[in-house]
Amino acid sequence: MAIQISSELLDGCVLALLQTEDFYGYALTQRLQASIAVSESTLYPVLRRLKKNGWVTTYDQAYQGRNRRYYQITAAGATQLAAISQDWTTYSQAINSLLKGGAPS
Amino acid sequence: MTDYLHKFAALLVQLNDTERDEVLEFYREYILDAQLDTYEDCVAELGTPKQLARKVLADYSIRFNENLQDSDSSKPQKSKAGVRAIWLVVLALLSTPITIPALIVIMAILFAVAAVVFALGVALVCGLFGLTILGFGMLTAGIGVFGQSIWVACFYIGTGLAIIGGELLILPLVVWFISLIIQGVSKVVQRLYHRFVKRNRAERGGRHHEKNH
Repeated sequence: MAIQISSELLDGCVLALLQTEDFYGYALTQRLQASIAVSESTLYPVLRRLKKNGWVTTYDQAYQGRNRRYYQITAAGATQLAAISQDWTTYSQAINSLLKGGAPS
Repeated sequence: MTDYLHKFAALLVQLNDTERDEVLEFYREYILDAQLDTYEDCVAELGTPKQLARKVLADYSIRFNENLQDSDSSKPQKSKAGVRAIWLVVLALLSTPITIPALIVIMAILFAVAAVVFALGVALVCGLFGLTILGFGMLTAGIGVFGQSIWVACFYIGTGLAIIGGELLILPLVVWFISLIIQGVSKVVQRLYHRFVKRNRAERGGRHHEKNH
């Protein structure tokens, strides 16, 4: 796909996935890559940013003698997700209408 | 796999312990979950340790530098951090396969700017150095002819002292000017980095995992 995703949208995608369930790093990458092309090294900076902004929290869970760090969306994260969704709806409608050559709605 | 993480960790010396541990823990878990058993597997998935470290560091450095500019830290620290940010951004750009012409243009611009700044710096240093030698030469000559003509000696010594004095006055101004240039370039580089690299990062090297479909 030639169109590149912005970091805001990537934040939104990750938050949306986390709203369905808690993910650990690798599973989250896999899930994301099933839908869009993101590189393996992309996700760490994203999760770090989300955590710094207080949109996600982490907790560790034992798995086969080691820990897996799970990411969980916070209330602030849910608010942020709603805002990004809202922006995206407006934006995508505008782009869709432009691409169809239609008049401004 | 342990080799990979060791090499990666060794490249993260600039981060503090907490930050480094967090990065390492994330990628250790990732590598285990992805079952990347050999060093080659890790490279295929995440890039070489150097590439990965540069990406991580470039991300940190820029945030770090922004924080620095918010606080009231002294100038030398600022321009030092500025130089480091430029360097890391250049490395991060270099470590990625150049697929986008924009990157080539950025590199060309960066190179041109670097050349100009370097040339200016060399000219300034040479000029100051020449003046200093002239000043001391005058002083020596003045002392040399002291026995023959006291007035000529006075002229030489006076001129020499005036030159050195003038230089000492200008020096802080020159240092301030240089640090201003470095900070300006650093800001431009960071803006370029944000504009082009951050947006592309999601796309770049994103291998499609067909098996997941």
